[in-house]
Amino acid sequence: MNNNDNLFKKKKSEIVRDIIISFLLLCFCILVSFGIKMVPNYMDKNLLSVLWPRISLIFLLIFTLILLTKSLFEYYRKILILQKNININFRYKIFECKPSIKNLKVFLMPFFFCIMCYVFGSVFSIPIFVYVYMRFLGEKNIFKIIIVSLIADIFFIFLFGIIVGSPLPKGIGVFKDINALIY
Amino acid sequence: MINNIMDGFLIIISINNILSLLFGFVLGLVFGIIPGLNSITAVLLVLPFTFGKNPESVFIILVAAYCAALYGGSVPAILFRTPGTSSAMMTSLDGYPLAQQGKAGEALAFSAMASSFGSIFGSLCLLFFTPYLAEFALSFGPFEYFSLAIFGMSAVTSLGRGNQIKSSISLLLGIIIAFIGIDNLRGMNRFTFGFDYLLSGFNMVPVLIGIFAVSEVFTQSNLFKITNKKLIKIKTYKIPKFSTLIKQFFKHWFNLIRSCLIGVIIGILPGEGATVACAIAYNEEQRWSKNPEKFGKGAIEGVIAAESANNTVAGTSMIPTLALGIPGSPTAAALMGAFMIMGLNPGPELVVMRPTLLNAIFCSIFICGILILVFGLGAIRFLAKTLEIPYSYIAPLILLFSMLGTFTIRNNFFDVIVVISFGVIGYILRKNNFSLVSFTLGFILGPLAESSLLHSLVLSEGNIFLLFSRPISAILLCLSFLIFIYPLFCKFIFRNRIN
Repeated sequence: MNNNDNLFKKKKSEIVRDIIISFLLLCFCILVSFGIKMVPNYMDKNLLSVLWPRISLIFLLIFTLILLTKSLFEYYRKILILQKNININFRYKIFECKPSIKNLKVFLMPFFFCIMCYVFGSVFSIPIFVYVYMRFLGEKNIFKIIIVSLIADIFFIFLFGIIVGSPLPKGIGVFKDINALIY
Repeated sequence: MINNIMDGFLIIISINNILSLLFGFVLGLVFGIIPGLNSITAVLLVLPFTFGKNPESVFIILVAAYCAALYGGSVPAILFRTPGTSSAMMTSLDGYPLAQQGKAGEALAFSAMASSFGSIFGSLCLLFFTPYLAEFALSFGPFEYFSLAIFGMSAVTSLGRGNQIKSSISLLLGIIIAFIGIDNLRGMNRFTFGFDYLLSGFNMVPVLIGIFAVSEVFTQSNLFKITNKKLIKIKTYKIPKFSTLIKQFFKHWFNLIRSCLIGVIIGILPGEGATVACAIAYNEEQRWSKNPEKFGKGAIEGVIAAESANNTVAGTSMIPTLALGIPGSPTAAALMGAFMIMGLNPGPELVVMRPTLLNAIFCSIFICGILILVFGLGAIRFLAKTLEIPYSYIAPLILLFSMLGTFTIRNNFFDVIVVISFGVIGYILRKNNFSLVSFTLGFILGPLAESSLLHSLVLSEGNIFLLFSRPISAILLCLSFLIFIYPLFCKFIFRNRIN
């Protein structure tokens, strides 16, 4: 695949992403409009609590529609014509703009860390998190990863638990007792 | 004025504050040097540790980290064409060719000297202009504050790089997210959808940490798949004699002053910070140069222009932040979060009621200017070694800092979830070229604009046109309109000319 094709694919993917985001923003606008209706004084004549949100919502809606129109226009005018002219023969793939499983791992791991912290406490969760995250990022040397995980554990417990004196999550059940023994 | 300067130095001269300043400086330098980390990340990660501390000491650390990170970005930009911060992009254009010509030491030294000059210039502007601006702003009522907030929002959507529509959408998203929780004026629940956790709204610190620090880690993590390699291998270089450098440096005095003045103007304008200032200063230097063709091939003037404008912004972006409560740069927005954590409300009252804070910030930037020179000419080669740490080691540590640091604010898991969620939102916005700065400005200025508008409506008995009857308010609103339509107008003219 040459440079032109790559550029074309990139541009197309950007435009498609803009279209998807515009639809998501429209959904967000609908959600916000429900939120405005749920404000207790919505039916009141003196609409002070919803005045500014309503103004913001109207502007958001206008800009979103402009973005959507612009993206659709660009898609049909530029992409379809370009596709014909430079003779690229591939079907539109939505997967071009879908994040890969690897990317999802990077996003989900912090959420799992929260759950781990709640259950096991920080002493056990920190090294597990560092180990898994480093593995996700491609680090292969297990020995190095274990050393970094343990150092990170000691560092954070020492920094937050002892120097700053802020209580870190201690977990539940037996883990709470073990964590309490350490800090 | 001299009393203020002396007062500032007296605050700094204590073991505790000197150590705080050095800590902030080294931290900022390391964050600036490592690509993917920047001044905002440095400031935000230090924020959770500032609870219960004296505000002066806190701001000494934060401001030192800010200044040092702005300078630190130039080191990898010159040595490897990898700007440590976005503002160092222009430095790399001429710094790297100079390094390739065997003049890396010279480029680094000039960069340090220009940054040092810029920092000192910016700090003096901060000290001289802020009290006058604050005194002027004391006469502001809700009408003027509303117009000022609108002006800030308009400026950030128009002056910023990229797509104006996307920038406006980011701003409005920030505003709407700031509404979540109890309405301060009438005590109504807004957008809580029955969730008790949302009643108090989103705390500014988790939102900012998520939007800037966590989203940056997500972005870098996705770019950086195989991390067994070190980020960059350090080369060796020599720095020329100090006396020779000084002579050569002050030959470019006109360039320095012009670039610093550009830094002053861009720093005072809300929203965009050092990156825009560097780009404009660099372009201006190229335009005024007798040999514009040398730019991009190793012109030392380019490095001086970019770096002096870059570091001037550190001081001048604090002017609107302190005097008006409108952040002058994204990092200044993060610093506003620090003010709020400490129960201080940035604005004219703060400058008048608490002048020691302004003096401490001024002195901190001033001393950082001197430290940049010392470190730049002496110790930077050792700190540049941090570039050899692989990103796979740095990413989990930053995430842990962000999550655990946020947890300690209220001992609440909800804040940690907020950090991660806003990290994901920030990642999506970043990936699709939506402006994070606009989002942050919307989040900060939205409530200010709302409360000012409602107060104005109450005072004017519902007559919104009274906003145009007051001169400052009318001028600001007209300027906002002009600033907003100017890029659209230019685009229209440009398109017509092409046709």
